[in-house]
Amino acid sequence: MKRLFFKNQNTWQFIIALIGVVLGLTLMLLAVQLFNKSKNYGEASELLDDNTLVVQKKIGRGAHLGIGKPNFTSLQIKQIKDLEFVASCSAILSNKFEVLVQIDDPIIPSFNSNIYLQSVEREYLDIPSEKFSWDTSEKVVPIVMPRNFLIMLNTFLSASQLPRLSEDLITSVKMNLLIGKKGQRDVYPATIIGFTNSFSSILAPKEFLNWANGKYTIEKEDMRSQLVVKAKKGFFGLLEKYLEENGLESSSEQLFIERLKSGLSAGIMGVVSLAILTLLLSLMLMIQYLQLILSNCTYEISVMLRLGHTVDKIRNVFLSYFSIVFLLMSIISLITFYILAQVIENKLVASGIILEPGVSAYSILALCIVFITFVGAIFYNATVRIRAHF
Amino acid sequence: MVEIELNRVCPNVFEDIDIQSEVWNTSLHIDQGGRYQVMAQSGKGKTSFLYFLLGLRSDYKGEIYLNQKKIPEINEQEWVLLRKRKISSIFQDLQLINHLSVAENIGLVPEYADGYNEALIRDMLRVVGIADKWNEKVKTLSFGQKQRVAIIRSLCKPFKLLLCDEPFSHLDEANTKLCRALILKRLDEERAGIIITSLDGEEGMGLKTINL
Repeated sequence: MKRLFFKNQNTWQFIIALIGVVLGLTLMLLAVQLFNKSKNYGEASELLDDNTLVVQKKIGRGAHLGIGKPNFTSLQIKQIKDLEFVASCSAILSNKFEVLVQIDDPIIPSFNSNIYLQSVEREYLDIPSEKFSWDTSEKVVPIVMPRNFLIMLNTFLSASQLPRLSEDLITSVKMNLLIGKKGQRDVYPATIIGFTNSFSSILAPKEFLNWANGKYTIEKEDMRSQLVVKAKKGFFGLLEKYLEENGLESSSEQLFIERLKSGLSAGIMGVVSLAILTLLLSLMLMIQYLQLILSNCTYEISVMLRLGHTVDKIRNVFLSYFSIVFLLMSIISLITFYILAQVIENKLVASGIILEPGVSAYSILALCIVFITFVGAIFYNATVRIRAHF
Repeated sequence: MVEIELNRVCPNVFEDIDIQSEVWNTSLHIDQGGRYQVMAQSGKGKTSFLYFLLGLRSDYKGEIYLNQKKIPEINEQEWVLLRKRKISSIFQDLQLINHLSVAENIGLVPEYADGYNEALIRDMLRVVGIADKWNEKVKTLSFGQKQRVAIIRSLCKPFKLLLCDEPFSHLDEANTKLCRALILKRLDEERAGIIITSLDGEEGMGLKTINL
């Protein structure tokens, strides 16, 4: 029956529609994939919940001149703690000694960097306490790494023409904390147990930081420049308003990732719009092509109906033809999408951003939805137009 | 079997004319398995009559019953069954697909009659002198040859009523005889009736005449 209906048809419009479908589907798959991955970037293993912020004072020129110190006083901390929309608040503990992180692993070149260590009360962290604890008998210090540090490390590796590290891979890299003054440094092996966007410093267990501050301290003054503040459920907006009105801000690390994600999302939304437009136009062209064939085949359809064929049987010829064609276009789009996604993700990795590997299930879901919609449109159009000849 | 009843049927185009015949504006009963020829000059509604019976046109007044059911009340599924198994037709414009071969055109029927297969159909084509056209495109055939293909296509499927609209109009006497004989053989095999429209009447088929 296919020969009966599809022979002698002008296929130019169809070919243009097919190119449009491949283009539209590829763009859509890419957009959904990147949108979803960028949305999830850094969220899977975030330690702080949505109601908790790391807060610091806005730094003006005065702070550098000693006017308006960045540290929080005990009174200021108590005032925040007493606010009716604040569930809890405490100072973030910082190191009062020199500390370096050293990567000592054959898979990447030797790397040393001065760092800061911080610690917060365990109640704010979504880590099991047995995983994130330390006592003097422990040889290895569990740490939580800021994602910015990983981005910086990957930029360094990229510049050295070396492969970048994923979050999974870096957890197996041998790493040491070197504590003390130059020439008298003690080595403490460390292991990464998680990542965070909320802190700019490496997080260590409170027990370790207290112990190290006691042993290696070179500063007398307690540095309480950052607080961790948890808003009561449903009052996060009030907390943000309070910060704005009182010269406070949330940590730039939280904002950096959010800005990065929102920038990516805006770009991706543009691609989504383009994909939807291209897809709609090409699907409309395909449906118009179906209508054109049905118009050209009026005589053939009448003959078939007069011979005793059912509307469903004739409709299924068109349905199977267009479904198979669309399926083939989907496969071509999937292959193109996979190649392009690899290229884009490699570019992002070169910029230090490592997204979760693999094809997003949402991309496949979007493809299925488009396929079902298209098949539904063909089913409806073909049935109505064939039945009109009965 | 297919039984037909007409009750004061008149095509809309004849509404303003006071037309009286053995079909229009009267009652007519067509027996199951009956063999009829509907005779009239051109323009009297022979083709319309067959189209009304096939449910392809409904521009008429009055009522037509097919097996005691009013034609407008016959649903899609019932029409499919009627056209597939009960009623076979030879249209005046033949309803062949020009870009398909003779074999492909015959293959368009939803199912062959009991015991019929490609060999038997080729044999029927041989009887009417066009066996060598099996793989020829229909567009390359003369109208007379096309008419014989349309006749064979209508005969190779199961039916209880054969509707023929001037089926021999472009055939010479010899081919007309062969086709008549083939039709009668198939009517006997299927124990079916026939309604055939004609300008001058068909001889030698034992048909009752209805004047339109």
